[in-house]
Amino acid sequence: MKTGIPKLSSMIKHDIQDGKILLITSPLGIDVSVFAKQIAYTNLKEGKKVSYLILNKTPSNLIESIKKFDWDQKAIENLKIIDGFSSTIGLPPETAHFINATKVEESIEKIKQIVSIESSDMLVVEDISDLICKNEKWIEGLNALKVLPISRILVFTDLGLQPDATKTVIDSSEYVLKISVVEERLLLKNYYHIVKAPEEFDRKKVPFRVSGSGISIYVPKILITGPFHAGKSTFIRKLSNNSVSVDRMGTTIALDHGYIEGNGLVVDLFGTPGQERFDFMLDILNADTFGVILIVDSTNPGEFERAKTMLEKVGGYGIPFVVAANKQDMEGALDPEKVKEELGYEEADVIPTVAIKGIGVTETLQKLIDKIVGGE
Amino acid sequence: MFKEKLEEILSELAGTGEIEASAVVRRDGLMIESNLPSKINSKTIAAITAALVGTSETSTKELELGEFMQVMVESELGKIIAVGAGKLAILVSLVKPQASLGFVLLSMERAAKKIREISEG
Repeated sequence: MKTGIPKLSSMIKHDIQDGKILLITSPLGIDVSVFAKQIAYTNLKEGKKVSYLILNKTPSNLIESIKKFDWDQKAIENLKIIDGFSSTIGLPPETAHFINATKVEESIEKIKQIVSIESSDMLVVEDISDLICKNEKWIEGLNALKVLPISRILVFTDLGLQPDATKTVIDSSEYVLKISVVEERLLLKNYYHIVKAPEEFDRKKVPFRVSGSGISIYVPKILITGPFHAGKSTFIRKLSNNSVSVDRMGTTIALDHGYIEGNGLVVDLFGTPGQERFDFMLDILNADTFGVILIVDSTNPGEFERAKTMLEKVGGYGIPFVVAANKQDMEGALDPEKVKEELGYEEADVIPTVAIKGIGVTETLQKLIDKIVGGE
Repeated sequence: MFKEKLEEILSELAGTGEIEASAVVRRDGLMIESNLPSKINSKTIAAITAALVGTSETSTKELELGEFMQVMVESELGKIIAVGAGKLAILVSLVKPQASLGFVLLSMERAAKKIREISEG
């Protein structure tokens, strides 16, 4: 089954197997239902039949929250919602399918019926903790649902109140995706990572943000550095949807800034000046860098020492970095292997680029992103 | 949550009637919170504000002029004023051309002090 969540299938080496349970868990305070919505939507778009049991808001509120994304509205209309909320506040159900979650056995029978009537390929439940709050019997009741032969996506806000319940819920799921939030020096960083899967998996944390298109990998800062006239500003211009440069007389004097948004990826790029007299800008820009692209002019090995110094100055040895061997189209350009050798970076990835023609720039960024978040 | 507190500080500044919009940015150029109009690219503003304050502070230091206080950019249609708000943050405001400068600076200093307290605990 596809999830539409960036990197997820490469983290677990292949797609999530059909008919299994994926638990999406988070501490209180983060709304992670967007993960469930994105998976539901991805499958609807593929023509799959998805039922969505909603327990913490009305079906109309759910639809409203899904329609906020710039997704294909027609696909969303095929979502079959099971109203598990209205009955709890004494309102008539909004949809043809509904349950009263305080009655566990009855609800389980009803869910089984609905799934069979609709011949659903997938059942989404938002949120397991609402079920358990209504009736503790649900902890076992969830096991009864295990016999359903379809994929299930369970959202679970871990209130931390019932460690037993948490354990049971995690034990009975084949896949567990954990969402976490870290507050660091005025920045909120959201991450997701796999904590359980039937086969081998990658534990790397993926930074993300939620925007109009759904969940994207979010890398708030990549530094582009390198000696004078290596092609840093050009590189950023070619890579970005939108960029600015504080430059005078053809050289960057303060910084370049650009950002990329699309294909499940949001990245902010910060370009440094190359000339030594502006090195104080390196100190201003270098905090909390996720990765560095070091750009060198392949025709000018005389500047490679300077390049190495710059990488050191921005803390490059400790964080993921890649080297762009630029100006490959020019006469006398050293090939990437030779550049690597001259730099003395035996382990480094060196990618051939012609920034001015946009050749190799996307590959360079992709290589760095893979290093940051893991992947193929 | 610090985000709500910062939002409140920024809307208080807007409430003075002299400031069009403001932003709290990190000293290394990342946006933290702003009420800039959506047509303005706030990520870029964050990056260049950090450069503006960073270069100004460096100038102050190199010229041995004591402590850096603020940077003010006067333009045809208004002023940009940026002040430090602790070790991590900068407060930048877009000020109306006819605004009373003393009052604006005082409001910004007060706000900057609150931001410092929030960010450094």
